[in-house]
Amino acid sequence: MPGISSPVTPFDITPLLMTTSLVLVVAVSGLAYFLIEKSEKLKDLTASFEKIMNSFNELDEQAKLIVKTDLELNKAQEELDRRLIGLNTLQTLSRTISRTLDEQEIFHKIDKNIASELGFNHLLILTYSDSAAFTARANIGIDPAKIEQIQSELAHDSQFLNALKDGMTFSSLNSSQKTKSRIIQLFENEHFILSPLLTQRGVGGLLFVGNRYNAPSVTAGDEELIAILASQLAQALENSQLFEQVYRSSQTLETKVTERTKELSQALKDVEDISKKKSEFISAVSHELRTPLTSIKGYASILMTGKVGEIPDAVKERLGKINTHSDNLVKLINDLLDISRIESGRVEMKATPQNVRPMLDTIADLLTPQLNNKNVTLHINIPADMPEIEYDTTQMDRVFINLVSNAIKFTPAGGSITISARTNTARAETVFEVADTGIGIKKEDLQRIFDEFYRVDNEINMKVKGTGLGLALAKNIVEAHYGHMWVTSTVGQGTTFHFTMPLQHKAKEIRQKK
Amino acid sequence: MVQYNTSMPTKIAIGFSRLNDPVAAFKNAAIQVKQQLNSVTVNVVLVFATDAYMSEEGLETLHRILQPERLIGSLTPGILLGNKAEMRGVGILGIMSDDWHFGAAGIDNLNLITTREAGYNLAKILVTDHASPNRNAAICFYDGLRKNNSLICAGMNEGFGLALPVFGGIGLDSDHIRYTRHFYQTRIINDAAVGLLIGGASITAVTSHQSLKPLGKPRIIDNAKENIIRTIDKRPAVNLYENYFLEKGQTLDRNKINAIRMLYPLGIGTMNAREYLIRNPIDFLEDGSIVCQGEIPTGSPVHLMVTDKDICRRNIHDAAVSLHEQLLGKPPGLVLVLESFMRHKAMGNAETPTVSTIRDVLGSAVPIFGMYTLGEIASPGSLKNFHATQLLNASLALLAIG
Repeated sequence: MPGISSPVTPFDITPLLMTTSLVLVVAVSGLAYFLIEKSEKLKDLTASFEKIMNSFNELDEQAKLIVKTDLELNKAQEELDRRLIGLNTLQTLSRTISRTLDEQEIFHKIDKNIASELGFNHLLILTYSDSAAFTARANIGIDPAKIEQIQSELAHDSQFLNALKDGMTFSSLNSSQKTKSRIIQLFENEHFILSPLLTQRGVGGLLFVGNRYNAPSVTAGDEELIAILASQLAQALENSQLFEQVYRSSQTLETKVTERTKELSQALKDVEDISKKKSEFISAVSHELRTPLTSIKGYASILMTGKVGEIPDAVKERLGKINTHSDNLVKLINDLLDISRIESGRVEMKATPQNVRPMLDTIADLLTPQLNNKNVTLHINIPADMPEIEYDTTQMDRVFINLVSNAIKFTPAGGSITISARTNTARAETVFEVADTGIGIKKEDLQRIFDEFYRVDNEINMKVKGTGLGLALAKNIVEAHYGHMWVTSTVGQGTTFHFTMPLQHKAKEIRQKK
Repeated sequence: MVQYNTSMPTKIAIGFSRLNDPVAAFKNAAIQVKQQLNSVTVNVVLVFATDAYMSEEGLETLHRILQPERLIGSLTPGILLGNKAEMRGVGILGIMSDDWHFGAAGIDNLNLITTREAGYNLAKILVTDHASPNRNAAICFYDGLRKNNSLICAGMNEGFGLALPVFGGIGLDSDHIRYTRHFYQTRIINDAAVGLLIGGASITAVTSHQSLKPLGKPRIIDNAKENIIRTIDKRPAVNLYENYFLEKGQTLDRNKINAIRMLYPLGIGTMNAREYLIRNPIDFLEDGSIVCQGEIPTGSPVHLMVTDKDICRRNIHDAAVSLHEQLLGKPPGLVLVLESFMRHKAMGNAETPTVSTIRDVLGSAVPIFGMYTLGEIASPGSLKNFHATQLLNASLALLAIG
């Protein structure tokens, strides 16, 4: 049998193709989905990134605001610091210059450090004199040649001077463009403050502070600070000038006082010399007068006895007058002699400690006839426990007799005289008073009552004779006992003579000192 | 006059004067020290003086009075002694000690060498002068206004041959940041570094600059070399400041730089560091680059930083407490304070609570001598990190000796 060929069944790839296509479709779809998914995520990421970037940018914007605020804060802080330093410097400087009364010293205190602490590199102080000229007193960093130009230009600018007089402070902050340009050009400082030094007399000068280029601008605070400094400087200058005047015046016064003291010393010496000469003269004259007086009195007495022949009554009467007048004259001369001796220190008080009461009793006895004649009562008020005092009995007798006799003389009938004494322990003295209820002494007479030969002009004195030496003598005796005497009186009511005598220990101290 | 007497055999004295005449001021302050130490010579003298007191004649007067064996010092905008910062004057610290050993060094013409070389040379001279293997710490002041100046500590440690705690700072004239000056023995030197090596004393230190907060969005430093940041976020670095401080169309001028560079430093985020690395800009270049004090890591995020007085005040207290804890409550022989002038600016002239706060914590009898700086060389945190000693900005550094 011939071979029988059986038909070959062809391989059907369709299902494979279909499966592959299906897989491919799924894969593509998956890929597409994946890609879409990724793309979405990418979009999300991009959006997130943009969001983050935006946040960062917002953060940056906020940071800019923070920086801006911080810068402003720092600027404010710096300004505050500058003000604090400036105020501190001003306070220290004010304290220093206010204690300085030397003008040079005031300017010496303003140095580079002070200017720098006030925030300026340049400083110029000019004083303005009565001769209408500016003088440089302190300079930091300004060319001396330039200063001459500044002085000359400003001294001739009446408008500028008037503005200074009105207290105007110029600065690169507040001045008009024209003024500003002029000051900048004149002082060569771009940032400046110029303030007047005003005194009571007007413009005393000016204070200029400034900085050149690239420096911070001046502020209102700086202006205020410099104006205060200028005012402090003006005050200090005025004080120093016043001090100078006072010092000069006191020097002149001191010279005058010295001269006057010298003149007065000389005058006192002259008076003392004259007084001494007067005492010597009185002493000499008294001696010379007493001798012939004694003869006159002697001869008159002999004549009166009738031993040289009988004398008529009329002559006898005249001889009696000669005798009386001679006695008066002798008494006057004796008083004068005593005064001159006491004044010249030639009479030494023979002071011994003793009670005053017995002396006063004796005086009362002695003056009783006169008191009775005049119908005047004498009271003696001496405390029983009064301490003894040191005195010369003979001299102290004269004091009391003089004072009481005077009192009797000027006290009308029925009046009284009181002698009293008290101890002033604080002053270590005994105070005596002889008071009367007499006619009193006028105020104008009181001042001269102790003058030698002074007699108050009144009716009684016209009638009763006296030498005018009694009170002067009494005062001299008291002073020779280291006491003092004074008088008080009311016209029509009476007069009181007061005098002090030191207690024993005080008298001893005074004697030792002398 | 401030007088302190630590237990013998170490005596510490501090003198200060603000007399207008610098020579008289030096004389006055030196006499105060002399009276307290009551000694013919003085082992070591440390001088901090403000600009007007950088006087050769004054220094000569000091030498005549105190006859110091070693003397270093620095210009500063302010001296920290009491309740108020002294913005004018001269402060003198004198130490007499049988236990503490010192070496002093000073080099100038730093412009001829790198900062690292300067540190290395300074350390070598210090080691030679100290002449004792017992070294505890070094104090250093240098001209930190130079470009790329942050490697001084690395240089010093190379010179010492081992890692030694270094503490110091950059003194400057004022917030104008124009120049630095240093005292070394009988001279005042410019463009210089001076150092003091201390041995025989226990040393404790803390540093803090947590008084700053970041502002705005972080940016990336994408191009920096050494201490110069070229670009931030692919734009000239200066744009960061312009963005915050200027209105559109304005450009940063020099006067404005003075005001902002100290108060608004840069805070750079670094790996594994909890705190920002703070950098003060010291110059802005024509191409918009920012010159900083200290190395800048490329690729790091950077922020503008800001502070306020409350944070600063709190921060002083925290630093003092931290020092007190490390001292286990024992009062130190001396505390040296180096505080960023930026902090002073932030707190304001009227308020200088640094010394009083430290005294409140450590005790009123503790001698404190300090100054304001533009940069502080210290270990971040505490002295246990002394291997990481570096130039810091805007910080408060306290060093306790003895």
